[in-house]
Amino acid sequence: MAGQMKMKIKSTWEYFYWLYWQYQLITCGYLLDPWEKIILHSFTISVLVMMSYTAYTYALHICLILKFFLYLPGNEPESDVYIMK
Amino acid sequence: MERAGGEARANGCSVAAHGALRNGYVRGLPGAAGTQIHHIAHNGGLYKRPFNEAFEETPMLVAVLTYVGYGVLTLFGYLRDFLRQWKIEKCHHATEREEQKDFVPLYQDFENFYTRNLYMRIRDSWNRPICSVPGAKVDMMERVSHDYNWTFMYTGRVIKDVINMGSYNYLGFAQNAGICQEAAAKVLSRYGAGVCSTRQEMGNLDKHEDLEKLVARFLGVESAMAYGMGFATNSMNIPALVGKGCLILSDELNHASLVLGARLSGATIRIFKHNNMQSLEKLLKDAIVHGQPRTRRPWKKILILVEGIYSMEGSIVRLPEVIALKKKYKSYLYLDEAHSIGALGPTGRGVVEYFGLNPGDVDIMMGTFTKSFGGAGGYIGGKKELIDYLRTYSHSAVYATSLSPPVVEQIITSMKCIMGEDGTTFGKECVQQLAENTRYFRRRLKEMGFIIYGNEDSPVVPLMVYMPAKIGAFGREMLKRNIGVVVVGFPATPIVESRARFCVSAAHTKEILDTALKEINEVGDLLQLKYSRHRLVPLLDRPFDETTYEETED
Repeated sequence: MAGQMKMKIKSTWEYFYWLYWQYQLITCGYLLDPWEKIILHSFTISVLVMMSYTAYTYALHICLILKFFLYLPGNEPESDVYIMK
Repeated sequence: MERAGGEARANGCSVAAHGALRNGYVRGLPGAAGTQIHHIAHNGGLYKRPFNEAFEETPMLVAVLTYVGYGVLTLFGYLRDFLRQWKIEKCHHATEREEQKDFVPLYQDFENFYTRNLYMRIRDSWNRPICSVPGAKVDMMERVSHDYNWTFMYTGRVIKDVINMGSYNYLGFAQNAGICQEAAAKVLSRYGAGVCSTRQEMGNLDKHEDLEKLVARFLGVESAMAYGMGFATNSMNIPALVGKGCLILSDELNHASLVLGARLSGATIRIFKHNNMQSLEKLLKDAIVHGQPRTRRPWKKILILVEGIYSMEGSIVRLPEVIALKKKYKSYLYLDEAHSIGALGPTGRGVVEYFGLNPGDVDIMMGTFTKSFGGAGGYIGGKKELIDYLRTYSHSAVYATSLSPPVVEQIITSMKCIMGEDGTTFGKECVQQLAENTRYFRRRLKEMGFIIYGNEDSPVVPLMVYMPAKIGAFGREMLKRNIGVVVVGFPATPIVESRARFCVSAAHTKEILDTALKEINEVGDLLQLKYSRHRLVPLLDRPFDETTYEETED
């Protein structure tokens, strides 16, 4: 989406409210009844919590995988030469 | 190879200023990437003016998010249906009676599911009651809903001077003051409002004969006939023209009245891709070569159904090519000019004049008086034998009440005004103002970054919105800013391609358009609707694939 935000942002709270509103528009939370919104928000929050917990638990594993695939500078690649007999 | 800005390519499809084309077929041009080489049409320069039509492709992220939104709404729809069935929640919509619960369910199909779970949530954007003449500005009655759009109540307040971007008031003849209104008032005091009969019995007024002669002169055809309702003109006259053993080739995006008329006639219907001349030619070739399905006999008649301007896409039919194909394969052409009459062409004579063609080439020219003339009803124009036949055999002529006299006078006055026969240049100025307004409005919207479909010259401007929540939000936000717009979703459009449709009018002054554009800009930023990527994508040489056609026999 190439839209630039040219509207006047009065404060960071306005900006966060606008972000919340975008989230509501995209997931159609804007159209739902209040009790349905509660269900939707709790679902979203639980998904986010689980994602962050996974990132926290497997942080080490994720870093290693990234290093393997991206060859982060300053790390010598592990010698993974298979010795064939 | 000539280089001319914006000229048509071999198939009449031109490269737009930005965005990828959706249904264009390009003969292989290896050097096309990055440069804009335009060719005059190979088929003898059919187009005398540039044909700029573009349908920018849906951005992938937007499509995915649209599906996400519809997925969420569907899940909540199932939840609500479950709660309603088990009586945990009160059921507002129509259901079967208790005794009929074991019968075949009536409301389980997708249309009903969509209506009660998706449409109801955004229903306040439609059926808004207006209480003044729908000119450039209109008054609306305010209504609120306390049970989430199941019922509405009027607050008693009238929202005054809402800028009207939704009415089909192309030339601005929807007025409650002026020459049209005075003439109509005089006729009302002489003839009354009701006709109380059909055309064939006692409902044939001298006003109707005058109107028909005037319409024939306006269009440049031999004869014309007027009917009381535009929808009925299509649906009741196509069955009179074709029947079993005939073939109808209908555009993919034709209006419901054309589809209904085609189905009622009992002819075989085949559908070609929207505005795609290769698809149409392939169908014509197949029809001529193979004939009718089982017996292989030649078709009695082949009728091509197209519209002048397609109101949901804002695209204009490729009429020069359709006429060339029609002549080559000896078929008939039915042109529905509901939106294009009065709105296109240097003197407002419609899409035939816009392309500089001969009206005698189009066999049946149909149109409506609702849009540009501020009246009601429809007409069919063509050769004298055709119209004489229709006077006798059309269902609408035999059974439907004829046009009401004040409406006829409104149409006659507005048509004379457009033709310049009332002695002023007011009509001509209206037509020019509409063309200017259209170009200005479209240009500004494209510059702002919205995805706008359709042809540069079409006064119907669809602005793509895509996501379901944004449809409702757009309608409501625009009304808060005192602008009335029409938003369109499923089933009038494909389910992911919902849009807001603006109808530019000659009655809009530049100030009104500027106000509207400013508000649209603001709402576009607020809702993040500016999806256009303004990118020149090299055209792929997409080979033409099998056309889809639907055969309905018997």
